[in-house]
Amino acid sequence: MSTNAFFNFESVTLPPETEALRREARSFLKENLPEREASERGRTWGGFDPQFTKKMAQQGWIGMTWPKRYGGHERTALERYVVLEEMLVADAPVGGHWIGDRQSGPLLLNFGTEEQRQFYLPRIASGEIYLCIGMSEPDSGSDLASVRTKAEKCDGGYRVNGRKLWTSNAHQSHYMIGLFRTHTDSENRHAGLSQFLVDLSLPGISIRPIPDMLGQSHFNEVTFDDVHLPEEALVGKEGAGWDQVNAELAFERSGPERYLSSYLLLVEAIRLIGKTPTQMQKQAVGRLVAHMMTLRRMSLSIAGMLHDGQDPRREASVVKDLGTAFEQELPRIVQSMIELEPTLATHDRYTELLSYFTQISPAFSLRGGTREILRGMIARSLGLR
Amino acid sequence: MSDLKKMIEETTDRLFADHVTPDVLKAGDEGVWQEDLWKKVEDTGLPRVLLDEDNGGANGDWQDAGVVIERCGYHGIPLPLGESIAANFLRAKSGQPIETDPTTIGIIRTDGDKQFAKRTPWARHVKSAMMALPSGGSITQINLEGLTIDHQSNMASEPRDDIELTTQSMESASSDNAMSEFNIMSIGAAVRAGQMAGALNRVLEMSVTYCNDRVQFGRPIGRFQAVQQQMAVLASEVAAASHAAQTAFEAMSQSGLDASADIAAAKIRTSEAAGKAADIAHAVHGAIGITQEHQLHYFTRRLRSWRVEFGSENYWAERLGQKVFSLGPDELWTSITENHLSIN
Ligand SMILES: Cc1cc2nc3c(=O)[nH]c(=O)nc-3n(C[C@H](O)[C@H](O)[C@H](O)COP(=O)(O)OP(=O)(O)OC[C@H]3O[C@@H](n4cnc5c(N)ncnc54)[C@H](O)[C@@H]3O)c2cc1C
Repeated sequence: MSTNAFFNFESVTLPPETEALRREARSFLKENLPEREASERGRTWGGFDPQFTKKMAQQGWIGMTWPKRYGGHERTALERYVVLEEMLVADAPVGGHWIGDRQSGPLLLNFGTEEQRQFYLPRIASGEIYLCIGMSEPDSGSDLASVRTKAEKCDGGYRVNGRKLWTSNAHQSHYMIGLFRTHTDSENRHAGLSQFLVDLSLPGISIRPIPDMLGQSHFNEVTFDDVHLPEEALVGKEGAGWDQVNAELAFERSGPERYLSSYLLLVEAIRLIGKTPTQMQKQAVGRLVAHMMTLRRMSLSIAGMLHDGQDPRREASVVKDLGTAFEQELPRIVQSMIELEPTLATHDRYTELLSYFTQISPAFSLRGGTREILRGMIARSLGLR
Repeated sequence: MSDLKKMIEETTDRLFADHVTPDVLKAGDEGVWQEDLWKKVEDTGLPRVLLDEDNGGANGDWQDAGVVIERCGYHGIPLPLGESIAANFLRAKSGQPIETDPTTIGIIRTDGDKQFAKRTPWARHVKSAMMALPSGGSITQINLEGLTIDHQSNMASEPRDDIELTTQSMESASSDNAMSEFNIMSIGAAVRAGQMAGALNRVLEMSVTYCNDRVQFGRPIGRFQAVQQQMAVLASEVAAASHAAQTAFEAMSQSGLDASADIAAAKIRTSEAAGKAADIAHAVHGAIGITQEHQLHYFTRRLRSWRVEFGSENYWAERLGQKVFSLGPDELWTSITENHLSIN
């Protein structure tokens, strides 16, 4: 019944072996999760902690599904899913390896050369190197195909000039996977784009963190001034960047992080209210939990599609749109449930968190593709465009 | 999908597609009992899908029943098929004889010195029903023949009758199973959630078709971005509601009526989607959509009624919320990842 003419949400039952893994993840977190400030915890998968990343790597929880010959662990997509969701609900600082594990690694497995796989994948899986995504630019946000940063063929490689913007974690990453224009075709904007692995320590690259309105620095402007890239930096085929980047976005949009960003606030609200909730509080929490249960099943269904080697792009756009709407309405609902003013610094964990999520939640439906763009994709699945 | 489930889905869909015609929907709306259609439904054994072969059943589980119930909603069949599946399940569970007549479920409450089963679905057309006795009593079979039945209906003109019980009708009913009113609410909520999933899918399909057919400003209206954005919201709501209903039926296949948290989540999610989806579908259809002649209302009126029957989203959210608070903040996630939390 949850498969209709437009979407295919098969239900997934987690195999029994994932139960032991879940217990392992929980006890690992109990022992290894550092004490942090409320707003630091609120960053969830944006949180950055090299030591924690190393420990995750030692557990074999980075690159879980990748082949062993590339430093992976040949576990299933569902096993990986269980580890991910446990990390997310515990607000573990997984930001260092998140991008490499989620999308750059799979991108290289799909399109990289043997040398690239052998060099990068084991280093990502061991928590040594971090990657970031260089797609957006000052004049190219939703309209990604309009990117202008140029990679021109030159002696022994490419010369890059231009600017990337909003690059999360660039200031703490070793490499970027950048989408650059290698060729200008006025007929077809989608042709002429290519992806490159960029060593961020190369001369000509400057990285400037852009503080967000809360004063936190997570995204950056990355400027390329005659940066020389070797031939081997090209990922996949020259000119095939558009198709590759879309395959990559499927990984970027399909995970449980797209509905769990503000879960912490719900937990803390339940803690604060305690054992004698009002009728309205019960109703509000019951409704949120029902939404969460449903989103989790849908998100698992997507993990099941990845597990079976199917393309979850259509379904992922639905779950990301519903999921980010959920993460965004959660602070508002929680606020109306407990009449406490959000504050900036009272050393009160709850009001600080409320303040953090109230302000930052608009970002949830911007990053990874905006609500309007996703809804456009859903409309396309309906055959309307 | 299991072979049985596929077979049941195909049989049901073919039967309903052939026989739940616009004329039947209209006649049902006018209160005409569809005896011929019931006979056909009865011949296929669908009301007994959950029973074992000794009881004339198909040996199906709740996932199979869910498919039938969902198709009921999709086609808007004006018969108590979902109710009969539920009542027969309760009969088998409490060892009472199975009927081939249409049947239903209800709750008896005391009002002064009288007993009523209010808003009982389809009561005027059934001979007996499975009902929860008042004040925490168990669930038992009640013979409705000869009782005073006040004809009421929901917004979709489906019978929702008030029955006045007599001492006699209650006395003949003796039963001491462990089930009670909450189980009627749960099984009823599961049926309505499944029907809503079906009706939601129907409303989505009708809206997509209309978006492609209706031309304004020289283009099909589905080409306008404002319409596309609304349709995307509709489609996502339908997807979430369907998945929630399916999850509940899966949980019930394993834990029966103990899967009450999944039933609650399904009723909450489908009810919420029902309101949003009906609004968007009507917005997209323009004026034609609110006419009697157009078929959309058969589904949106049902959605709006089913939304509140057997517990609105607030009713179920309160119960689910109560459970969450009693478990405490640090148990929330573990209880979500452990399947089939019970809120009985
Ligand atoms: C926290 C955060 C982290 C990020 N990290 C990264 C990163 O690591 N790497 C990276 O490359 N990018 C990153 N981004 C950028 C992100 O991908 C873009 O913000 C996003 O794609 C939208 O682009 P924009 O901000 O330029 O908005 P615009 O594209 O200018 O959109 C502004 C508004 O117009 C709407 N709009 C635009 N075009 C259309 C259309 N055709 N139809 C309807 N509405 C439209 C949008 O939906 C939006 O509401 C990040 C963003 C955020 C907020």
